[in-house]
Amino acid sequence: MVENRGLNYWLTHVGLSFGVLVLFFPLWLAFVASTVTNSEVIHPPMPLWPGDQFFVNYGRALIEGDSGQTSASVARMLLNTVTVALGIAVGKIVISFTSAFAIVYFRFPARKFFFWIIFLTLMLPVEVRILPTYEVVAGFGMLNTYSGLIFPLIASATATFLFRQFFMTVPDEIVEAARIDGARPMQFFIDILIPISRTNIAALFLIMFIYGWNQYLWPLLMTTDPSMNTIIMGVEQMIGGQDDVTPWPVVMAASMMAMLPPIIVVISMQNLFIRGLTDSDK
Amino acid sequence: MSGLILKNVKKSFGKVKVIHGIDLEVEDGEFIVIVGPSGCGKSTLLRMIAGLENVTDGDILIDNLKVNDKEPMDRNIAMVFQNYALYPHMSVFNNMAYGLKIAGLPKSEIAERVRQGAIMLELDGLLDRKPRELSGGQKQRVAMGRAIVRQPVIFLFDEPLSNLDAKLRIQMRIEIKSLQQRLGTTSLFVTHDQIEAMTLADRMVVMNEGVAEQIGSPMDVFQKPETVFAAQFIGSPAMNIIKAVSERQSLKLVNGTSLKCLTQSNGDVLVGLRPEDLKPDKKGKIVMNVKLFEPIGASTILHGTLNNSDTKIVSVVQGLLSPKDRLSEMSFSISPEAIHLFSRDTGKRIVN
Repeated sequence: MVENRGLNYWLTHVGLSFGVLVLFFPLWLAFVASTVTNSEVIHPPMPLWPGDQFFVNYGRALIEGDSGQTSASVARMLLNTVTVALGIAVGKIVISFTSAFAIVYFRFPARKFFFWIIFLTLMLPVEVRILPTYEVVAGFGMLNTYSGLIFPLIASATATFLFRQFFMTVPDEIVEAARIDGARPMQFFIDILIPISRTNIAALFLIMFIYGWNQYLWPLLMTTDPSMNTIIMGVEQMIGGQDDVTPWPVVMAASMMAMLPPIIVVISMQNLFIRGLTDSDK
Repeated sequence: MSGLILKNVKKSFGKVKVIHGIDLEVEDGEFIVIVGPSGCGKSTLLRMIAGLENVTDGDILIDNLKVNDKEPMDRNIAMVFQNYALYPHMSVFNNMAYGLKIAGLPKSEIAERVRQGAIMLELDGLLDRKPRELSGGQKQRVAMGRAIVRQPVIFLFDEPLSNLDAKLRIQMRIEIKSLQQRLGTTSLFVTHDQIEAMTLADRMVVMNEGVAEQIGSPMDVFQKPETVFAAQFIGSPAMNIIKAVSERQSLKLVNGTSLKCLTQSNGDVLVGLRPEDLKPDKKGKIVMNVKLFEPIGASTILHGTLNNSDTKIVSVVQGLLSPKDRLSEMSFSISPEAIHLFSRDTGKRIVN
């Protein structure tokens, strides 16, 4: 039903505006807190309008972090997180795309078995297998490295399954037409399969990038060197222990900056993302 | 020299046999139509020739070379699919050029071949479009263009017209025929539509349940169907088949009517009468209880049963019948040479 006149029109807007306000308010408070001095934050009442410390706080967060106590500078952590999130997103797509390709387009012994093994790993997220994973990564000497942060997270049953479902909707005739045109499997893969999957790839990239960005437990466990911290765990580490004075405005500035890249990625890719989830370009 | 030879080609999927052994020799430049109901194995046969299905038994020779184990691209064939199977992300030009690019032809030659193909198919204004910006008929033309530019020894068409609307289908049918005549390329065309088969074929293969019931020119098949199946499948409305007992040249139909025919036989037979061969005749011996009149413009189709029996028969009468001519009981006569006789045991045509 589309109703766009009279009272309903206003009621829907009031309802939506109220929802936006409720969701937005904490963000607003965080932003306000990042623009005032620490004493203003600590002593009630909490200010509701931005102060004049914006550049001071953001500059300090970006360059110094929490003055080198337990975490690196935000700039460093952002760099780490972007690297890790990109690595996870790209790695997941490459691995799941190729394994879905193998499972859908090749008849090899125990194909079903391999598919179900991949599927089974859905039940084993990082949190469940975290100790053995740590053991393996430590054994390879990959603690405190980017590869150690990325590799354990890139195998993805979900993405494999999604690509498999998409490949199964690609008409057989297209595959056969390519065979008659003389395309070898890898030529088909590169010339045809990747281009027609691009919206799906974009959608998955977005989801996986956010997934990688938001990783907390794994980086927390395996990075001991502050210079390898990711921003999500770094923000937490900036909050001092019982004796320290937590520099709340700096922490909030770091939080705001931690939110920014995913927002930019989502906004810039949302068209592709929606197309990838709703229609396939066939 | 023949373009294509099939020697006792068989196919089974696991234990299910779908093609029971087909022999066929196709002359160079011939247009062969494989026609049959769905599930008769006609598409499977075509796909085996294309190399998309393995051959279970028998040989396929293209240009006198055995190709059983060759990849599709090495067989010198091109195929047009029912749903066009265009690459959705490529322009018309790239769709047509893709096979040539893989074959490693120089760019200038690819461009030249695609240009010629496009002109032939009136696609020259559309080369930059994507498939989704084309109509059904245009897509089918691109699919044909993709086949033409490869300059294959054989064209394979897998029901290419089935996705088009009726009017476009007739137009494309004519275009395919004239294109094939111009290029002179051996062609195999699979369809379930007997009119397409009749109009396109130099020779047709009538298939049923994995067996070639008859191979011959359309007129041969129409005038001298070798089996009851071929008789009923080709021609519209389908041939009437009536049980009868024959004694030398006289027939006694299931309802007791006696007819004379030219073929000698004795015993249980099936009599085949084309609906259009039944001529209205007040003194005719074949009496029909008419249940339904179907005027189709130039003629009227009459549906009913043979009197004193429940055998359904159909006849076609020229012109529109005025209401006073629409009797519930009508008589027809048929000339003895228009009567087809089939063995009731084997379904094969009786000749002597």
